[in-house]
Amino acid sequence: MIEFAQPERLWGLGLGILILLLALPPRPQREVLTAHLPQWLRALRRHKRSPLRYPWLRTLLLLLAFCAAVMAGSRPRVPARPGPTQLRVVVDASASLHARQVQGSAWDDLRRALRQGLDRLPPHVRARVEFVRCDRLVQFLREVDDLGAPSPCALGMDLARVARAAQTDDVAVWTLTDGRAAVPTLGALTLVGRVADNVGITALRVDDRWPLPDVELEIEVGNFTSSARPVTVRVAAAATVLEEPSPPPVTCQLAQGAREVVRWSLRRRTGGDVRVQIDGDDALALDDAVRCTLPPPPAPRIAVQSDSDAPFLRTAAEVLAAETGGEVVAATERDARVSFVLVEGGVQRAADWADLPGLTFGTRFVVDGAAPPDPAPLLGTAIEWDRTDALTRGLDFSEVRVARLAAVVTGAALLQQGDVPLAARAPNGRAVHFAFRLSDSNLWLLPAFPQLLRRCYAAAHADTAKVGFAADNLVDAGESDLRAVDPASDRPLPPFGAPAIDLTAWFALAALLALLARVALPQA
Amino acid sequence: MAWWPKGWRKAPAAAIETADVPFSSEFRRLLLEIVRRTPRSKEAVDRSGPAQRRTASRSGTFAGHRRYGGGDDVRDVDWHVYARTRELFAKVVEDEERRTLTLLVDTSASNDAGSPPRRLATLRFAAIEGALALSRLDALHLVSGNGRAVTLRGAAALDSLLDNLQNAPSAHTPLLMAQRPLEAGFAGRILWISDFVPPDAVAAALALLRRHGRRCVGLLPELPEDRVPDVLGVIALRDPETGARQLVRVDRTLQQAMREELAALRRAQDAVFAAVGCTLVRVPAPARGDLSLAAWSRPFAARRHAGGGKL
Repeated sequence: MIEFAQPERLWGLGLGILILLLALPPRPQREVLTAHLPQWLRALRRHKRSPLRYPWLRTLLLLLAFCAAVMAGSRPRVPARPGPTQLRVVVDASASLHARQVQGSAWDDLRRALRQGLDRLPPHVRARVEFVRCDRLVQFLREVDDLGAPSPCALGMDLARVARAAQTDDVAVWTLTDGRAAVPTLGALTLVGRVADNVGITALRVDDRWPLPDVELEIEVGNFTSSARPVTVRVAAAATVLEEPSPPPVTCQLAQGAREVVRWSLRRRTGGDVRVQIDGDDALALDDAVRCTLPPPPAPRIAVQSDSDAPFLRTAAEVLAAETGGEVVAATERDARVSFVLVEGGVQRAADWADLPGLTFGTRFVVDGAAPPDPAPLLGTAIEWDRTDALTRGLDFSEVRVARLAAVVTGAALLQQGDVPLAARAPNGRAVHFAFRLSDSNLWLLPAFPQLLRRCYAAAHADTAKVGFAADNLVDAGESDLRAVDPASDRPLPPFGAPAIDLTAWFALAALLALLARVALPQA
Repeated sequence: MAWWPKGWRKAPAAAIETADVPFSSEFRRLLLEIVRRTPRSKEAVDRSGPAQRRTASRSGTFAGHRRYGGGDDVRDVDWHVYARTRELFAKVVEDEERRTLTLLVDTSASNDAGSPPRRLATLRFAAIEGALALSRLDALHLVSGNGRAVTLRGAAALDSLLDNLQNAPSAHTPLLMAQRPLEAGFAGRILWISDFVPPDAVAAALALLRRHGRRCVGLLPELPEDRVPDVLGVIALRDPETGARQLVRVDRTLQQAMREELAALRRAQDAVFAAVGCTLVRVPAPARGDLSLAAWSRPFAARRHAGGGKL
């Protein structure tokens, strides 16, 4: 089907009749009956002539060239076909795509369907693949094989909204999903999911008491099968990680759809990877094990410097060292091995504490050589503390009594009496400065003091105190349930539109070829 | 290529004049005059060929009887034998003289060529030769182009001769025409009037006659176009026999080449006759409307000059 942009020029085809007429041989002057026609033909051949004939082939080629040229001048084209010319492929890359199916995983089926679909696309259709993982849209424009693996996360987005937002008049949407979540009602759809039974770990909680060796491990196990079944949960670690490397497994009887929490109280020895796994040969292996990395015990070297004869601070340091397997060392200037400093009284340069972890009690800081200000007198009002800060949260400081202040602290107050801050975090976050000497207060007597001391130590070494979780460690809870698939059926890709194809060059080429053929043709 | 398309119109066909009626009353008078003026001569008897042949004939030496059959003249029946045996027998005599002429006339469409058409001269020459034979000889065997033979006797058969010539079908099958007198046992001379184109077509027929000891004289009414093509410019040439039509641009060069081709054709015709020991006589066809005695007596004189004898 061809249309012309300027069809009025096709009237020029009528001039082709002139070509036919001009090619006619001359009219004979008369007709002569002769018995010697063979002799005439022989005489012609002797002079390499031939009888006059209508040059059908040459005329036809000339007419063809003329018609092709006229049509080329009329701008012929294949008309555009209405429809979308772009394809947006939305790929569900949630964790449930890891589910094992008849041939490979659901992800394998999805990639196979995607490859076949892209291969069947018309060449002019531009496809953009976006796969949805962990509430992010990741654009993907290279080979299908480079899709990688689905994420361990839930879908995090509504596929129907993604499809609805992507579809326009020029853009068709094709959604590939396993149908665990609601599927779009518009655009093409390919469902690769199958109903399957699965048992999986749905939650992991690690309560690390660092710098203490105690670790609380909490696992939630879910039964997403069609019947009740026992599930055995095991904790495993390397021999030196825990004091008890292989705690006894726990077996729990899970009803259909039930979840149960299993807890362990562990003590670390050196820290390292701890793996929790369940027994079960089910469809989704990804949620059968979780892993975390416990930080090593701190073994701190605590330096104590006090201008007081009271033993409170040193005792507190020794208790902290005993709890964490560390030691109290002499306060030596520039001792890089010291991991925590406890100072009481005295005067310090503020610059020295720019990155120093520790606690100061009533220590006065000299800034730029200026004399430190004198502390304000206490008004005897009640003690207040920041109940939201990680250092003081859950601790009771209401019984704190301070006899007198020895220094002035600045910054975000953790503890204060009236408007006078009694304790504040250092700007580096690794130190806490108290405005009073420990011996001038009853803080050391309160049960919150050891906690505060440990929290201050943990805060000063927060970068090494974190429990590590691998990115693909835990599957989102909803992804483990493979018992349902959206009942929608597959929908094919819509017919794509096509842009108009300009045929002017082809017709011009045809005209040129016809002329060349005519030139190459010997004259009759 | 012409600037104006003239070729789409059909070219005017060669004019055939209504005056070209072969046997008009003027010609019939001329024919009678030629017969009257031509003296009877013993040289008209053809003594060539086998010396003695036995044929059913009313003159000659009695040689025996044979059963009377179809085609035999009733005058040949021996009534004495019939009286004795009650069966019909024809008397067989030995010819003393063959007093017949076999006339082979080419009536093909190729004779329509020429101006006036060669057919006019062919039929009129055949009529003159036939009329002389009817008046001088015992019989005339007229074989037309399709091989059909008619035997005519006596001057009274002149009208029949003219009718047969005028109504002869358009055909020229040389071999069939040569076979007919051999199969029918026609004695006497054979005169073949034709344009003898192409020459190869008559070679086999002449060879057949030669194998049977028969001699033949060829008479070719020659047109001016047989020597010099009188055309120039763009000409549509049409072969009346095959209907083939060719458009030719004739210039002096082609005219000269055609003249040479026609000379080669004449040489080929002569060679065909010479190869079998026969004579080909070319007689110029009189011009249209020329009914003079001299013009139409020319073939007789020419044939006599060529050794064909006269009636």
